Amino acid sequence: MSSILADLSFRMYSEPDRFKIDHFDRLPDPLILLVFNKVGDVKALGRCCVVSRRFHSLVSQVDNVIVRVDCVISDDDSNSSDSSADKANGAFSTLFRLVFGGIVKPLQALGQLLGPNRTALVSGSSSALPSSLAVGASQEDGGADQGGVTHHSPTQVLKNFCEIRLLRIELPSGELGIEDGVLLKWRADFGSTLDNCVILGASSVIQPKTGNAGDDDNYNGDDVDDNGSIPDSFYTNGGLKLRVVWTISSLIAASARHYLLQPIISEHKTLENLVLTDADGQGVLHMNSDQLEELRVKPLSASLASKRTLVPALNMRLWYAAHLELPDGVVLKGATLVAIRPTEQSPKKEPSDVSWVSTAFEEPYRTAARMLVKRRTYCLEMNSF
Amino acid sequence: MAEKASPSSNSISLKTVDGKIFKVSPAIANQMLTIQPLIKDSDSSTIISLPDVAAFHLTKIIEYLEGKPAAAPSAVDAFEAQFVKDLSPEELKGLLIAVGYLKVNGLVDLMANTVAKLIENKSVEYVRKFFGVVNDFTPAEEAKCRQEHAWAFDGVDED
Repeated sequence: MSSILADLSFRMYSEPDRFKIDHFDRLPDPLILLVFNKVGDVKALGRCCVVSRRFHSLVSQVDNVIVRVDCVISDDDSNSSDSSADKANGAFSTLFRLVFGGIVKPLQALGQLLGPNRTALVSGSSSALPSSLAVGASQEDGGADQGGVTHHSPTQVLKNFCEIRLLRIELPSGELGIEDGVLLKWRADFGSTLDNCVILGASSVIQPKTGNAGDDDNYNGDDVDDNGSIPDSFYTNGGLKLRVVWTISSLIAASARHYLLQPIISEHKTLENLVLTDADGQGVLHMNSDQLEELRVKPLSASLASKRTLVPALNMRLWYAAHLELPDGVVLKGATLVAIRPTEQSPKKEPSDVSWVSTAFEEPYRTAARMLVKRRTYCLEMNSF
Repeated sequence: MAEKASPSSNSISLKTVDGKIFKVSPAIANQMLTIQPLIKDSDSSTIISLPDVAAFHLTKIIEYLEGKPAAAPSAVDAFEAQFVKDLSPEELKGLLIAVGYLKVNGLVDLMANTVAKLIENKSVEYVRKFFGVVNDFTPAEEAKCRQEHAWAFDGVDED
């Protein structure tokens, strides 16, 4: 008996080729598909397409895909190939850049380059807003302008996927150039236009100091009189102005991202959840299945100024704390939370539900938002832009 | 599928393809969804044969089910990382097949995740070798397919 067992295991383990083929025959499609869905990364899945006919057809059934953008093509980069369109908008965009230059550049195309030679397309500014998405290596027509580099848009890269339900696109960095130490995060939900947006900012973030209790005394003065109101100095020292710039910049970034998603959404009818984020974790754009369907039925309105979705007239609520200490000891100086909704969607009576605001971010920022919404609320309005 | 064996305690006997018999508690066996219906009808003298599972794989499966911490997610993560750490690619693949066949609670996802991480940054050739796949493209078809997926071929690790 034992000798038979030994023979069996010899046969099982000592003939590698046979072992593999035996087992591959038994590796069912659902199991391979499960592995592919865990892989997610569109480049890795692209390589799996080349493995064999069976793998090629299985990859097309993957429903969870992640597209990591290596490079963003900003407005500046695409000027050469798009000059006529730019001239029409020239005056406006110059004005636009004067106002927001250095903070934000319009994201004109979601340019994602997953291929080699990416340096050719990376502009000096990490703050450029994507103006197109390109994955990998190339567009035939634009090739000459880009020194032969070919860009693959996410639309091209995703062409063979016909059953995507969850799509996550990750830009290489946040669009907004912010100074060191400044905290700025936004989360926006879109349908055909902006549904809501939450922005959390702080002029500086102070990590807890260990064994340096004396420092706390510096802040006590601020806190004692802190009744949740905004101090007068906020209006005069540029604090408010900076918050408005953060808000507008975030909305521009979000609406430019949204604009770029349109072709992807119209081609992938099975999409149920779409997230466009960045490696810095600065901004996150979400669209759920209802919102995706809304966009398919009712196309977005584009802004005249640049390639982005028109931001509707907005109601904003703002919370501010000069000094916000989180439970883990981290202190946010000049902490600001802004909750934004289109005017026409805002509830008629004073909205008391702030749960969507306090759950917009991941920890530890979720806690910060939860603490801020307990403070006094300030309302602002903004016209469509 | 079931045969009689000498009665023993309350445990379930599982027989692997290489002839080893493992006795496990019903609590453990119940987490293998494929054999769940067989457990109800079996008594302590029943031996359940597992034609797709080798002794090595069943040992690891039992190790996982017995050792997995019940509580904190961080403890589970640490346990799972340790569990897959020293498995060779060949063992990973065999274990994926075994847990896929047995539908082992939690372990299917863990093995799929681990295999996904292993192949994620690997070349086409590595993936073929790993899964034991025969390339059934003609050279012309493969060249065309590579051309269509040209964007997928940077950032690949050494095999």
